Amino acid sequence: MTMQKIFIFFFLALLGTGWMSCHKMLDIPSKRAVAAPNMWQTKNDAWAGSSACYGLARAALANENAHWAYGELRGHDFAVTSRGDLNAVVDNKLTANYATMDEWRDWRRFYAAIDQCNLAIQKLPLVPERDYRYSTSEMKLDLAQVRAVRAFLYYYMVRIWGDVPLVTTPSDGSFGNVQREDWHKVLELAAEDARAAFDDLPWRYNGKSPEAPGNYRGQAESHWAGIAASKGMVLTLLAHIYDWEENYTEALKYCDQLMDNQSNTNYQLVTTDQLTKLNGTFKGRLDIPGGNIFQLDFNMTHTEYSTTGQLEDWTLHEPDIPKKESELYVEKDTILGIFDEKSDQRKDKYFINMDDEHPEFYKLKQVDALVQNPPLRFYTSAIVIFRYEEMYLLRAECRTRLGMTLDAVEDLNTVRAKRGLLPMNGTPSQDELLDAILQERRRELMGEGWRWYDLVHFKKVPQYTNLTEEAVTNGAIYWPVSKAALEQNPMLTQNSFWK
Amino acid sequence: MKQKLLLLIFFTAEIGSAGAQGVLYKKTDTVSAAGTAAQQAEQAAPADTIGFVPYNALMRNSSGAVSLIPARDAEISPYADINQALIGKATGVEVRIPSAEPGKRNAAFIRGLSSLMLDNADVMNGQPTYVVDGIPLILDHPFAYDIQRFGVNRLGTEINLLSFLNINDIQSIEVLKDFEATAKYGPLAANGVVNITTYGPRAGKLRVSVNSYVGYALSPDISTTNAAYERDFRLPFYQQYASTGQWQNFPAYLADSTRPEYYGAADWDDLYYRNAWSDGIQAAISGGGRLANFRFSIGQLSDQGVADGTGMNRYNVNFGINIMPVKDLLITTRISAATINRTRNHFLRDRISDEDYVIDLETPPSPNKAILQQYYDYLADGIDDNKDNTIQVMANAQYTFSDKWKLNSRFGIDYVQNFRDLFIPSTLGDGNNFASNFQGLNKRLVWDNSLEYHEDIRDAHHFGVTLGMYTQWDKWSYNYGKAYKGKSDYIKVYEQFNNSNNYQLTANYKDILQSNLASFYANLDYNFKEKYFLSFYLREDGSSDIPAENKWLFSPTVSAAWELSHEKFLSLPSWVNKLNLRASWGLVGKRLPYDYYNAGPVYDVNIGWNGTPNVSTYDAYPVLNASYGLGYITEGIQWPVVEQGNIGLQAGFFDKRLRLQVDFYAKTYRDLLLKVPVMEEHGYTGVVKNGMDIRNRGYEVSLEGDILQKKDFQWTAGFSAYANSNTLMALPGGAHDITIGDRHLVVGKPVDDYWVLVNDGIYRSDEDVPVDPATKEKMSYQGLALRAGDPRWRDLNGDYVIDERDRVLKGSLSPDIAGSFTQTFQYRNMTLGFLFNYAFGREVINQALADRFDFANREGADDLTGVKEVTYWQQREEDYESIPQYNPWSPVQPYQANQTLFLQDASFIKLRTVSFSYDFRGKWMKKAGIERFRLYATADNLWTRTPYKGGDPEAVSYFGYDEGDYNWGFPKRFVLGFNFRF
Repeated sequence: MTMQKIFIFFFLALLGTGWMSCHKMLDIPSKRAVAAPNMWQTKNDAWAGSSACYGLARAALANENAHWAYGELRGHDFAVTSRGDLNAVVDNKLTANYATMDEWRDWRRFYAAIDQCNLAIQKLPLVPERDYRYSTSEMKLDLAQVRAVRAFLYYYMVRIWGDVPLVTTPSDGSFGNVQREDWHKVLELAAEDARAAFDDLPWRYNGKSPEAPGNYRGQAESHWAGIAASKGMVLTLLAHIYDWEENYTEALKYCDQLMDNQSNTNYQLVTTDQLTKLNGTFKGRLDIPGGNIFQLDFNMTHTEYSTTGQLEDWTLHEPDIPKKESELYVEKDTILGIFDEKSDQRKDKYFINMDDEHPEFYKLKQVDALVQNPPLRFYTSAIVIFRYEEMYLLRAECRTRLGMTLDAVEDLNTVRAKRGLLPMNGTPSQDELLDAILQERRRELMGEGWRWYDLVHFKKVPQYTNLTEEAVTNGAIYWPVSKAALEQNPMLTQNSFWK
Repeated sequence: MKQKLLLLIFFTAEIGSAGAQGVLYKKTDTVSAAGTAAQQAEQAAPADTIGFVPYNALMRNSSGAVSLIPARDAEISPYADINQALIGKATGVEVRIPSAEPGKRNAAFIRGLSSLMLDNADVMNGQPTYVVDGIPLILDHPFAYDIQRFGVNRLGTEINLLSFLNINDIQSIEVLKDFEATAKYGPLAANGVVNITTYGPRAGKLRVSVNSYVGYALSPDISTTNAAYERDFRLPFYQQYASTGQWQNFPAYLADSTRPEYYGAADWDDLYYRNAWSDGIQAAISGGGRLANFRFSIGQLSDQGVADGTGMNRYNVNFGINIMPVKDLLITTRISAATINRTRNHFLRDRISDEDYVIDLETPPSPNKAILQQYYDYLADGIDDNKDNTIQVMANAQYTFSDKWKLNSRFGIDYVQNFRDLFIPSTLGDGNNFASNFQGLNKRLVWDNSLEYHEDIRDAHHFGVTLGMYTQWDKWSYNYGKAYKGKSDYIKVYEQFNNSNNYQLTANYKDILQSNLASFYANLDYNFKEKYFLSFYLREDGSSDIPAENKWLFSPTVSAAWELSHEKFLSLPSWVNKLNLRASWGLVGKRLPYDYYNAGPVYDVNIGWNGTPNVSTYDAYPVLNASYGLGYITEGIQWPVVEQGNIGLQAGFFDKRLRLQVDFYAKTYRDLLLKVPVMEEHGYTGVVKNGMDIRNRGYEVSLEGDILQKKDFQWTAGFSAYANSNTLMALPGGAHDITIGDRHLVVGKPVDDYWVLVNDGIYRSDEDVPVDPATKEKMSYQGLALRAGDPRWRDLNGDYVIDERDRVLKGSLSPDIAGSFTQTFQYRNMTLGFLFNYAFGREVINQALADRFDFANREGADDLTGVKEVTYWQQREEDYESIPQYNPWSPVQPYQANQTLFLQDASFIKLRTVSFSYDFRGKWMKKAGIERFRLYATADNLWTRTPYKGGDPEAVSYFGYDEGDYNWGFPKRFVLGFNFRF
C-alpha cells in the first residue's frame, strides 16, 4: 500500500511540475520573425528598420524590371524580340493578361515601402530613449532619409498612376479603405517631406558636415555617395516634383540651389566613357566623384545581386550573358534617327552589333567581374534614378519655359559638349529649344527609365506612340490600377481610360 | 468457431472480436500493450493458420471508425511506404502521389481536406499524424519553401519519411477517423491518425523470421519523336496566324531539318527508361523469458525507378526489449534506426529550382541517345548525395500496482536528419558550376504520463478512469548554403559559412522553428454489461504557437455505443450475429503551422522581389521590415478547432459470413487561419486571421462476404465505397468570397474546385465577335478586343467583357466517390487475390496538353515555363482533334490551362494488385521447426480504365494539374517473394 501511495504522490508531483514547466515551454518567441513590441528598441533595430525603406523601394522598382516597364517601354524607342508581355506594354495594351502585367499594374510593393517609411517616421524618434548608443542626431539623419525615400516614392507613383491614395500613417491593423487623392496634393506632401528632410541631411557623407559628423554608420563616403539620400538628392527631387507640376519657377529654384552648391555636392558631369564603362555610372559606388545623385543600389560584395530586376536582363545577350537573344533592342533606323549628329560619342558606346538584325543596347552592361568568364546571369547594376547631366537638362527645360532661352541653351550645350556634340547655335524658338532638349534627354537618358515620362511631360505621346491625343486626354498616360487593389478597396476607382 | 479469415482485404470487418470490449481498454497504452499483446497474438496463432494474426482485443485499443490493414496484406505486397499500402485498403483515405519516383514524399488525406489546397505548404500541413507504437512521427515542415524562388521541391532531400519503416516489421496499420478512435491524440488527431503497430518483443523460444522479395517493374511503352513531329504540330499555327516577326522567331532547332541533334534518331528512351529491379530482405529474431525478452530485426530495401536512373536504398535496424525488473513493473523499449539514400531525377526543371538559376533554355535537350548519354556523363562528374537518417527511441514504463491501478510513463524521441550535397559541374550550367549543401533536422520529444483506474461492479458496471499529461517538443531547423561559379570543378563540396577561395558567390541560410504542445487529459469510460458503452474525453491543450491569452483550449469528446446483438428484448433474428451502433461527437484543436502567430504583428526580413526573393540587406546593412509578405498577423489568434460527429454501424450476418461497416460523419474545421487579401495601400499581401470554416461530410461503407466456405475452397468478396464532399462554410470577417491566385473561394462551395472559363469554340473571323449594343465595342477579354482565332468564351454576366466574373467553379481532384473491390479465392494452400480500386467524379486540368498548344508563350521563356525535358520528344495519346486551333500569339492567352477545354474527367478503375500465395503446411514443417513458409507472387498496376487521355489519371500534381512528364505513374510491377518463420 505504501508503495502505491509513493507512486501516486510521485505522479501528482509530476503533474504539478509539469503544469509549472508547461508555461515556460509554451512561451517561446519565434526565431523567424520579431514580434512588434520587440522592434525599434535598439540602434540596430533603427538601422534595420530604416534600411528596409530603401530595400522595399528597390524591390518595388526591380520587381519584374518595373522601373523600365513604366518608364521606358511605352516610349517606343525599344523594340521587342518576342516576349508577349513586353510587346503588350510597348503597344500600350496595359490590360493584357500576363503574370508580369499583373505585377506592373499593382502598386502594393510601393505601398509596402511607404508603409515601412510611415512606420519608421513614427517609431524612429522613440529609439534614442531606449538605446543610448543611438543619438538623437543620428536618429534625425535616419529619419530624414526615410522621409526623402517616402517623398521619392510618392513622386514616382504619381507619374505612373496619377491620383494615388495618400497614406501617411502605418497600418494599425484596421485597414480602413482610402480614396485616391488628387495628385497635386500627393506631390504637396512629397515636397513637404523633401523640404523637411533637407534640413537634417548632409551634402555629403564624408564626415565633414554637422548633419553627419564622422563616418555614418562607420562607413566611408564611398559607401554612401549616391545611395543614401543627401541634400542634393532632395533638391533634385523637389525640382522634379515641381517640374512635373509644371511649376517651373519653383523647379528652377531648386535646380539652381543644387547647382550653385556644386562645391558642397561634389557632383560632376561624367565623360561618355565613364557613363558607359563597366564599374562606371551604373555601378555607382566606384564612380566618385561622379554624377549619381540617387540610385537604388545593389551591393555585389554582400550578395545583393538579382536574376531579374535590371535592364541588362532584357537588353544583353551572348557573350555577356548566356542568352542567345535579348528581349529588347533598338532598331537600327531608330538609332540612326536619334543619334543623327556625327560627332556624338554615345552612339558607339550605347550600341554594338549595329549590323545585326537586333542591335544590342550596350549602355548598361554592369556584368561584374565576379560573374564573367563564363558569364553567370546575376545583375548588380544600380537602378540610377537621378544624375547630374539630367539636372542640366531639367534646368534647361525650366529656363526655356520661363523664357530664359540663352541660359537654357548654355545648359543644353554643357551636356552636348560632354558628349562630343557641337554647341547649339543661334537663338531657337521656345518650341525648337524644347524639342532639342527632349531629343537630348532621349539620347542622354536612354534606357534609364525617363523616356515615357518625358513624352508625357513634353506632351509628345501621340507623336511617338500608338496612342491618340484623345486617348491621352482620356488618361491613357497612366497605368491601370490592378484588379487586386480595386477589389480590396471599394473606394478606389479605375483610371478613366482603362475602365 | 473456426473461422478462417481470408484477408487479402482491406477493411476492418473485425467483427468477430469484441470490438466494443475494446472501448473499455482503449486508453490502455498502445505501447505497453504492444509488447505483451503482440506476443500473445503471435503465440496464439496456430501454426496451421494461413498467417493471419488474430487481432487481440487488447490490441484493439480503439473502436470507432477505423480501417485496418492487416499485416498479411502488407507482407505480400511490399511497398516502400505506408501511404501506398493504404490505397484501396482503407476507406476515407485519399492518397495523392504526384510522381512514382522512388522514395519521394507524397500525401494522404483522411476524410477530406483540412484546409485550402493552394501550395505545397498546405499539402504538408494537411497530413495525418502517423503514430508508431505510440510515438507520433515528426514529418518535414514546409518552412524551407520560404527561401525558394521555384518551389518545385522543398529544399533538402524530399525523402518520404514514411519509407523508414520496414513493412515486415509492421504488425498492423490502422486508419483512425472519428473521435472515438482518435480523441486520445488530441490536436494531433485533427487530420486523422494512422496508427502503426510493429511486432514487439515476445517471450518464448527463439524465433527467426526471414522475408524477402524481388520485384521487376516494366518500363513504359512510348513512341518517341524528333523535331519533325513538333514542327508538323506547330506549322499549321504558323501558317494561319504568324506574323513576319513570329516567323522570324521560329525556333532554330525546329527550323533546320539538317541538324542531326534534333532531326536525327529519337532513341533517348533506350537510355532514359529501364526495366527496374527492386528487392528487399528482412530478418528478425525474437524470444526470451517472461521477465526479459527481445526482438531484433534488420532489413534492406532497394527500389529502382523505371525512369531517369532514379531509385532508393534503405537500411534499417530495429531493436525492442521488454523487461520486468520488479514485479508489476514492465519496461518496454524500442530503438529503430534507418538510413535512406534516394537517387533523384535529373529534370532540368528540378535542377533549375535547386540551383535557383535559370540556365539558357533556348535549345532544348536533344532526342538523341548519345547526347543524353553525354548529359548523364556530365552529371556523373557532379555530386547529388541525398540522404536521410532517422532514429526513433521509445521507452515505456508501466507499473501495475493493483488490479485496479496502473501508472504509465512513456518517453519518445523521433530524430530525423536530412543531408543533401549537390554539385553541378560547369559542363551543365552554361559553363558555371554550382554547389549546395543542406543539413536539416527534425526533432520531436514526447513525454506522456498517465494514471489509470478501473473498477468492475458486480460484473455489470465497468468503469475506467485515466488521468494524464502529455508534452511534446518539436523543432525543425536547417542550414543551407549555396555557391555559384566555383573556380574549379575538382572542388565539389561547399561548406556553409566558410569563406572558401574557390567560391565567391555564396549565400547561406539558417532557419529554426519550434513548436511545443502540452496537454492534460481525463478520460472516463463506462460500460454496462458489454451492452451500453459511454466514454468521455476531456482535454486541456496548450500550444506555444498560440498567443498567451488564448493559449489553452478545452476540448471535450464523447462517444457511445450500443451492442444491439446483446439485447435480448430486441429478439433479433438468428442470422444477425452482431449489431453494434455507435456515435461520437467532439472537438479537438488543430495546431498552427508556424510559430510567429503567437505575438500579433511581426517584423521579418522580406525585401526581395520576383526572381530574387532572398535579399536580406540594403547596401550591406541588414533590414527588418513589417511582415508585408507574410501578411499582417492580427492580435489574439485563437486555436482552430475541428468538430466531428460520427454515426456508425457494424454488423455481422449469417454466422458472420457477411460483414458490414457503415459510417456517416460531418467534420468541420473552424476558425482556421487564412491570409485574407486586404486593401493594398498599407503594403501587406493580406491579413492573417481566424475565421475560415471548412466542412467535410461523407460516408464510408465496407461490405465483405464469404460467398463460399467449403473445406478446401473459400471465396470472399469485398466492396468498399466512400464519399466526401467539402464545403467552405465561412471566411474570415464574414467575407463571401475571395480570390487567391488562380483559385476562387466562395462560401457554400467546395474549397478545391477549379476556376475556369467556359469554352464555346473559336471566333473564325473578326466579324464573329459580338458587339456590345450599348457601347458599340467588341467583346473583349479583360479589355483586349477579341479577334479572329481567339477562343469563344462564354460571357456569363453578359457585360461583353470576359474576365474573372465569367469564370465558374467546376470540378475538383477530390473524387465524388471512391473505393475498392476485392476478390479472394483460397484453394487448399493457395490463395489468389484481386484488388481493384476506383474513383469517380474526379477531374484534372490537363496542363500538359495546354502547355503543348501554348508554345508561343513558352518557347525559350526565361523561367520554368520555358523548360523542356528530354521526355518532350514523345508522341502522346491526347485527343488533339478536340482542341481548336486558336491564335497562340494572341495576348488573350487562348491556351491558358484554366478553361473547360482542358478540364477533363479523370475517373478511373484500376486493377491495383493481383496476388497469389502458397502457404506450405504439413507435419514436415513442424518437425523442421518451421512455423510459416509462404511463397507469393504479386503483380501491381496491371490494368486501368479511364476516360482520361493524358496518361495515368492518378499521376497529377497535388492540386489536380497534370504536369505531364513530371508526374510519373506507377509502372507495372511483378514481385516474387517469401515469408519464412521458424
